Amino acid sequence: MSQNKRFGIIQLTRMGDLIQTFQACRDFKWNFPEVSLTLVARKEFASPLAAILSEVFDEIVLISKKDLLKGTDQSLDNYLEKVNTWLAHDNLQNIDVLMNFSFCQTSNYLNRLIPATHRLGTFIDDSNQVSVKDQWSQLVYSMVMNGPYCPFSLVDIYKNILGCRTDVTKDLPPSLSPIERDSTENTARVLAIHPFASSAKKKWKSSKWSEVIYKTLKDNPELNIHLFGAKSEENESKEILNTSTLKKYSSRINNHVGKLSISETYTKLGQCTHFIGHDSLLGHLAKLHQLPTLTISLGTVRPIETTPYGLNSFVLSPRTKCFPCFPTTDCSFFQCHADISYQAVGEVLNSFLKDGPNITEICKNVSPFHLDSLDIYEFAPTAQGWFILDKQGDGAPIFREVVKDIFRTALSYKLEEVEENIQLAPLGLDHINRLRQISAGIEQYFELCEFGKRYSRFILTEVGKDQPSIPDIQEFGNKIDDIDRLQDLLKKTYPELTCIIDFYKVVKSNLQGDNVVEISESSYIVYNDNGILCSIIFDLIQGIINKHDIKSRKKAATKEGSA
Amino acid sequence: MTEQIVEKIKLVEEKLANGTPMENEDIVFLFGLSLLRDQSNESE
Repeated sequence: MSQNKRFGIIQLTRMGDLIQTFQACRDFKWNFPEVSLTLVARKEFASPLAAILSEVFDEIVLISKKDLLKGTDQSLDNYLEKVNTWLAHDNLQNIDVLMNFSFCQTSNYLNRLIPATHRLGTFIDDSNQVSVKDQWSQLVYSMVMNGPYCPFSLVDIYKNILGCRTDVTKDLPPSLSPIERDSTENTARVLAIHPFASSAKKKWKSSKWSEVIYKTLKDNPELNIHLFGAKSEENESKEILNTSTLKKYSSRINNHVGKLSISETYTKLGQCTHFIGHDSLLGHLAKLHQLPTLTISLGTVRPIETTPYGLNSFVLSPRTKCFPCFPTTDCSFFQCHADISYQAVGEVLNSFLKDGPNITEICKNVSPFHLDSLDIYEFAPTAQGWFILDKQGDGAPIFREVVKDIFRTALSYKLEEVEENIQLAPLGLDHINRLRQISAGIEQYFELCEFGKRYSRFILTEVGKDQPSIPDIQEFGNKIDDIDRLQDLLKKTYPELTCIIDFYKVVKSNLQGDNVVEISESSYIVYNDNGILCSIIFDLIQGIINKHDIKSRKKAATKEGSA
Repeated sequence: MTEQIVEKIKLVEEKLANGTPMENEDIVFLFGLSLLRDQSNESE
């Protein structure tokens, strides 16, 4: 990469997303220190994190609705004049590559308005439609926003959009470097707890946290606890701490809820040795200090996407069928909360505080009744330096995770020509039968892609004739529309394929070309690409099924022999 | 400001319906509007 390039990153979403963006950019900057990075962020989210963000970003341009509205006398013209003045900011000029990491409508417009030589991520085109040209952003647009099957961490996706690759056999970037602790430093364990999250779906009720804190302090007499949270979480913190059982441990509990600013919280987290909490900003901040983290994922949380990025991150996730749900999903029962019991968390936490969760030890101490409804994962790097959720223990994974691993392997190869060697745990007959069904869906999808290729080719042939037939071209175009409709029907029969079908739908709706020939050529390439992805997924599934069948036959033969 | 916004929206919609390419000032308006509508709570 040549010197003095300027990259712009638009990240208008919340603080947690800002920290994830920071982590991706930190690894990028480590690879390409000569590239200047400009962050465009909301003032209310970026200002409290300014000290952290400025470690990586050369310039931070803040936008604030309040500031833009200030003194406009409620006039649209005045407001727009202020917007234009903001857009003319010196640091928003001469950007070589502008990237939108927040995928919201406001950022889509911004990714159009800020002048840049190249744009990545979603932006608004001339017809006021969302457009997205690069494959990793197309993946975000189709998978991250639409369902639970995205197989990559958001930080890894950002790193790929940035073009940042890691060779784990060489020097490791900050996110992959193991922590070097001073051997003389005090080894007393200090546990940071953030028992809150941005919505009720994502956090336990206070009583369960009281139980976990009680058990942890009782089982670990040397342990001290720091409780963190915002001003708005003060009442909940009182509910947690004002229980009769915790009274006798009050001297070992430091309650910071509502008392510290973000930067003070960050500093205080650095004095702790471990972190436990739900999916929230504090987990990400703890990871910046390289603390081992244990995240209890509930409700709408997609653990692979938002687990604190770095080594020694562990996740407890419920095996509940409807987990993860959507923010709009109506739920009052919170089955996923019930599926992670405080007894199980207490024991996992004890083991985590020793030297990381040890499944054998946990199984000895907790009834299967509590453990069967949850999974424990370590968030660990693969050979490519991308993180994956590695299921701990021998139990069969839930089916969704199997499908995600297959998609991840196929997409890694298709997008980056990277071979991810993911080891799947042995699957039961139920999972194998479901894979057979999906395999049939993939075959049908492949057939549709072949038809798509054929009709794209027919259009190209017709256009190439001396006197092309317009009705024929229209008919072939209609056939392609039919194929796209059939793909949508396929999603209803095989919902697991939705994200793959949607991914190529996004790719197809962003075809390159200004005329029928160019668009038909692009359409042919997209159907062909899609067909290749189908073949990879089909081969992977067949490999798993064949392995299972061989094993079953061997088992049957051994049984017959011994009979 | 609401009346001015409604009027401007009508103009932009007209342009889009007629297939007229949007000008930079239209995009600036839509960006400004999106920022105003944005539900991200500034007080958080």
